[in-house]
Amino acid sequence: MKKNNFYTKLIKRLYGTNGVLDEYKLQKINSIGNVSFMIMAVYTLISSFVVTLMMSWNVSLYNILIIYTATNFLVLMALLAYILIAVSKLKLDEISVDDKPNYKKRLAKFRKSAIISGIGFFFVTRILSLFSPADITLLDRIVSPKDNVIQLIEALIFVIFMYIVMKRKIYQEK
Amino acid sequence: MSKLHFYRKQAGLSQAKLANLVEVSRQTINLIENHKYNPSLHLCIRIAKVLGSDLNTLFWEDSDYEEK
Repeated sequence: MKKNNFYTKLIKRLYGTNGVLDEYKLQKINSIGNVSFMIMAVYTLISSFVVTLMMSWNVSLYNILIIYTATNFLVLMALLAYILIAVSKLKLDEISVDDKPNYKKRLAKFRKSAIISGIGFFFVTRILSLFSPADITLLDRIVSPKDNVIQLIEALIFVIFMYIVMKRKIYQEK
Repeated sequence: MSKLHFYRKQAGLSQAKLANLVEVSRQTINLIENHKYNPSLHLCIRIAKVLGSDLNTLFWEDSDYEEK
């Protein structure tokens, strides 16, 4: 069994893989990583060139910053989506269980993880919503039943979604 | 049915159990059995040791040999 050193843990976390990081998974992760690197390298070259060009045209620095930041974010999201889809398609995130007790144990673990993620999601979205402009005081916004209920429902949908996604990753050998 | 599949069944091992013993994922064993992945020599040797067999018996493709 490959030692669970920092590098292995980082790879598993970044790529969302589960179980043993064996030669097959490493090979596939390496090829996904290579494609991602190539896309990032080409994008960085082009974007740097475009930014330099815009600066030579005396475009406002603020506009350049906004556009550059926004496109960086979009490209990063697109890359993360590619990694997610590639890993899912190759089933690198599959969790293998060989008997019913282990399967039930896994499901219970997923339920717990989904609930904890949901609680975190609720608090993060609640805090972020407090930063948006509004006519009422901060305290009123914190205790607002309407906002709390809406965000609770969103967190519940998130919990269900996370549980379904995690459950789909389990493969039970018959 | 691949030879590996046959000898694994003969040894009474599931894919997951064999995978555990050779320190790879169940998916890798499945891919090897379905000829969708060529394992490294190191992995082939580990599988042969666990199944108490040899590389020729488990991995040699008889049809390729006959064509030559």
